[in-house]
Amino acid sequence: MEKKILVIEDDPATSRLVDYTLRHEGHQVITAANGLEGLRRARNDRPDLVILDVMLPGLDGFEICHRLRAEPATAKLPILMFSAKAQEIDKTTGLKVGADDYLSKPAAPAEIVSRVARLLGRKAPNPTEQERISG
Amino acid sequence: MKEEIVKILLIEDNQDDSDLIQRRLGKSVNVLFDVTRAKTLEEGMAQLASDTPDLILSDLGLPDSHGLDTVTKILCEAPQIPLVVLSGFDDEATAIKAVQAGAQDYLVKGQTEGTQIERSLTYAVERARLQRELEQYTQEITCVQNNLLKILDNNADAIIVVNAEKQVLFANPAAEVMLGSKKQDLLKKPFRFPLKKGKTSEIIIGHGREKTVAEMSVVGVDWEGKPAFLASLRDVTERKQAEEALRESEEKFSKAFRRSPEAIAISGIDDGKFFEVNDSFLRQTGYTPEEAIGKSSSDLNIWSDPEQRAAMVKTLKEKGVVSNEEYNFHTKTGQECIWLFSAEAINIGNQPCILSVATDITERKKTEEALRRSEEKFRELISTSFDGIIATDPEMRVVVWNQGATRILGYTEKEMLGQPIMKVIPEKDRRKTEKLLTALNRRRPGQSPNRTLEGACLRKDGAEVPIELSISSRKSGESHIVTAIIRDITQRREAEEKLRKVDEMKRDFLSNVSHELRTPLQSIGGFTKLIMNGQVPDEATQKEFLEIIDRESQHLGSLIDNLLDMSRLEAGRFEVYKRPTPIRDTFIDAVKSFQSLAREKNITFNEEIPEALPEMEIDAGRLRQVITNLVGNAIKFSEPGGSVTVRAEALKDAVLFQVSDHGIGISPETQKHLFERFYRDEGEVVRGGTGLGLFISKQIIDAHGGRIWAESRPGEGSTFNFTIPLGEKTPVIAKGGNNHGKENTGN
Repeated sequence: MEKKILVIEDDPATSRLVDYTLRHEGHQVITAANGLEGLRRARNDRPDLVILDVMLPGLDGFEICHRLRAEPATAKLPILMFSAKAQEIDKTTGLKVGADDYLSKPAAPAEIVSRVARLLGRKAPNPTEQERISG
Repeated sequence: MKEEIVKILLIEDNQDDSDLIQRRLGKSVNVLFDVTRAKTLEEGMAQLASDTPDLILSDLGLPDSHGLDTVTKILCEAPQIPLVVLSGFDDEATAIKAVQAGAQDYLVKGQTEGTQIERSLTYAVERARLQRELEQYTQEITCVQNNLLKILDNNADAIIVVNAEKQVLFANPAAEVMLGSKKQDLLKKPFRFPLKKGKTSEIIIGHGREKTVAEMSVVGVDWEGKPAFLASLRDVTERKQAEEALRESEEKFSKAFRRSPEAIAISGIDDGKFFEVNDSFLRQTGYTPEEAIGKSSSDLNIWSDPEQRAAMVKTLKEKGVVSNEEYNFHTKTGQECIWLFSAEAINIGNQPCILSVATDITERKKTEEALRRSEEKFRELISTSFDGIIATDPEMRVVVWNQGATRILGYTEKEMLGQPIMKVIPEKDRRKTEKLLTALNRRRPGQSPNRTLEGACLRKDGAEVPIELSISSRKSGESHIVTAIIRDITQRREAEEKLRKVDEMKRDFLSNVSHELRTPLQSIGGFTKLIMNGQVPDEATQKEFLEIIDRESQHLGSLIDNLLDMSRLEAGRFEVYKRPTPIRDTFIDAVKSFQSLAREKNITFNEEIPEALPEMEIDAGRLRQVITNLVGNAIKFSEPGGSVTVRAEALKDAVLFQVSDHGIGISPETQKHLFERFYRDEGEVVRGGTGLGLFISKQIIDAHGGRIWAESRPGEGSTFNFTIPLGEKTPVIAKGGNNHGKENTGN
């Protein structure tokens, strides 16, 4: 089932990767390169899920998440935080401000797909690809 | 020869009898009798009044008197004149009565034969004379005896007469007092002290608590016809006591003189000769008694300055005393010493002398001097100490305030002495400080270890100064003095704050490095996986992805380079290798790789690099690093739709390179720190980055002798500039005309 996924990511390369990967899975992808744009799109474009980077120009991911949760329209919106901030404290903060899941960079495209699928209530297509890239 | 004339008053009424008697008397060969005749008693008495006879010869029967009456009357009138009465032969009994009544003798008329009358009369005269003399002697003796008794009675000495049986026969009032008994108790009682004639002995009479010492002299006397002892006792108790006291006093003074720790000497005031010196004097001067006594002070050269002695003698003669003067003396060995000298003028055997008492205060003087120097030194130390030194008394008032304290707190010593210390304690700390000081004051010194604390003080201008202070308390006399040494730690605090910030930056740096490394890895790994898994069938897309992988790999590489540079910088091993290089090529080359990135981000990328730029002594790789960093930042901080312009320009003596964006800009505060290590703008904009790029860029530009700076207005964009100076012999490589090209001739 095709879903609309909002990717808020300032690194163009990563944004492109996530966009390509999810489109390849059959989803509709919209992107935002900064927080304010991301918020606007989350409100206006009614995505089914948000993939949210943390280190963003303007508003950071934690703040965006917090705001999304504060607004009734987006309070229940599934949010996957996807960040190069990979410390445990970051993860904890992310979940605390309302993220549904937290994925550290770098992550394999299959892992991204799997996490998205799980949040969308679907089973991950291929568990063997849930390995991480490098280490 | 008649040797004697005896005047006789003959009272006889019978003419014949009287003639007869006169006749008889006239025949005397030995005595010339001068006879005056009277016929009646009355006539006889009248004669007595005009001339005193040696004897009265009177008839008992006279016309105006008879019998014993006549005797009585005559004796009554002239008791001292011997009386011989004449009686008739028939009246001898009356004559005898007359003798018994006081007449010397009687003559019977008619029986006066031969020399009898003469003998009777001279005997009577003689007898009367003897009797008178006896009476006189007796009277004299009585008088002497009375006087003697009076003397005895009033004699201060006790006088006691004791017989051979040791019984007291006599005791005078003084004896009663001395022996403590009444006369009646003493008499006939035994005398208990041994008596030796002609000896003087001392006896102790104890009665009650008082003891009397008496000196007893005994002589042998004849008392009422018997041999006896006369003991005379004199009370010498007081004398003995006085003697004892004098002896003790002498001993005491002698001891004091000998043993006194002060040098005492008695010397002649004029010649300065020593009569007497004590042990201390000898010890202090180093002389033996033989060497000193009899010598004068000038002989011994004791006075360092004879004028001092002259002045001392002058004062002594004027005032009689010299007290506590400091004079200089020589010891025997010539050592100089200072004496605290007092003297008094005294007379000994009519000779004016000096009694001098002196204490050697040389050591004390030295100690005082040393102490004074030491005090001076410490005062100096305290006064000039860079640290503030402040002391307070138990009332928390300032008693010490040094220059350091003035430097730190602004108040001068004059302003603070006697002032409450709370004046420099911030309001909020006053109660705490008071408690602390009270606790320190209660403690015994030594009980309070020095404490080092940190706090704040109020400066004169009202500002708070952070200080470190060490506090100690000590007892000074009866009161506690609390001393604080304070140090202005403003700078240390700042340094600490800086260090803390650097630490924080380092922590952030590590976190950021991790973030920065992970971001390109995400793309590299992700696209690689997609391609590997055959998920990117489209060739053009595949190429696009591979380009991303390549760019991100380079980015990763440069990140790692930055980190390495950083560690080289920290280790002091950062170097640039300059060689002549056409600088334009370096610029173009460095900027080229950003074209695609800008396109991806939908950012317009303008490049204004003139053709005519010189060949310069540069490290091309390093310079590219700087440009990559500046351009990368510009793109990173630009919004999609924005633009980044890269410019180069040859100036008179340098080449300028500029990167401008229209991004969010940099606050003036941030601009100050831009080129510092680990610094990242932490305003509202949170963006990745190690914070090393600009720092390293500055190091590189510095190494080229150039300058790097930023111009920015928040919200309008930023321009980063750097210049590389032209070397002395750097030729400009002109590569055709260009608007921006300047005619720079390297000279």
